[in-house]
Amino acid sequence: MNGQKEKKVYSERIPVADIVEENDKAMVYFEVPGSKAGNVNIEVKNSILTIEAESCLERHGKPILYKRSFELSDAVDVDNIKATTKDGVLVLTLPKAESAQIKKIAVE
Amino acid sequence: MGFLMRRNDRGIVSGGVMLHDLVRSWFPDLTDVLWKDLLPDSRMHVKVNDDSVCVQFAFAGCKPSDFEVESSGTFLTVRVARREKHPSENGEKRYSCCERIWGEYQESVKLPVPVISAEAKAKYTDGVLEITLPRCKSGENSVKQIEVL
Repeated sequence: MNGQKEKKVYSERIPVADIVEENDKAMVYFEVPGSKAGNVNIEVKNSILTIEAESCLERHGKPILYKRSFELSDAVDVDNIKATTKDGVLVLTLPKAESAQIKKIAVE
Repeated sequence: MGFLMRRNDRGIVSGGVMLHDLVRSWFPDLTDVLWKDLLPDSRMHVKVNDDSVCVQFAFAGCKPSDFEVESSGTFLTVRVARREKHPSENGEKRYSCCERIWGEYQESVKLPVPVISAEAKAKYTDGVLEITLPRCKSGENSVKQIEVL
């Protein structure tokens, strides 16, 4: 052993997702069965949102890693993205930037 | 995907054979090895231990009461019906991508060894239904000698 940590080999899967839009935000629901909050990694780099979730499930002797990326538009307020997990579903809340929200204008 | 999402990173993935064939015809250079990874696999996974058989059924976002598990001989069937409303049905929300299964889903598997169905236990945690069935000990399986009169 040279002291380096051996890289874990995963069986990679693309999680299915639902995207629901509301006036002030969008909700993204990823199915990541067998994953707990501590095993989920979410990052935004150069407007690319990437989620990675390690599962307790295995395929072909390797643990499953759910991984998927999306390109975000400028309308997303990246600093206020929130994430929760429940029953194997990762829920991302993507708030819209102020400028992207629909404003109703009253006609006088 | 509306104004928020322009595209995903690996395109459309679907269990539909026709769609699979269509996409494959667009990208003929992709190897079978790659397609094996892209195609969806069974939600059920069977592990045989020394004294039990453990079946894992991956179905996220449900409650334990949504599941119905039946065991007949060495066949195990899991039925699930998501009873909660689809998020788009509430108020003025609208979905721009819908890939998750809503409604009913069923999958069966033939277990590789005889089991004692009456002592089966099931637990739902983090989107995975885990069913544990004790294995029949030798001489205890359901083979019955019938006398010919």
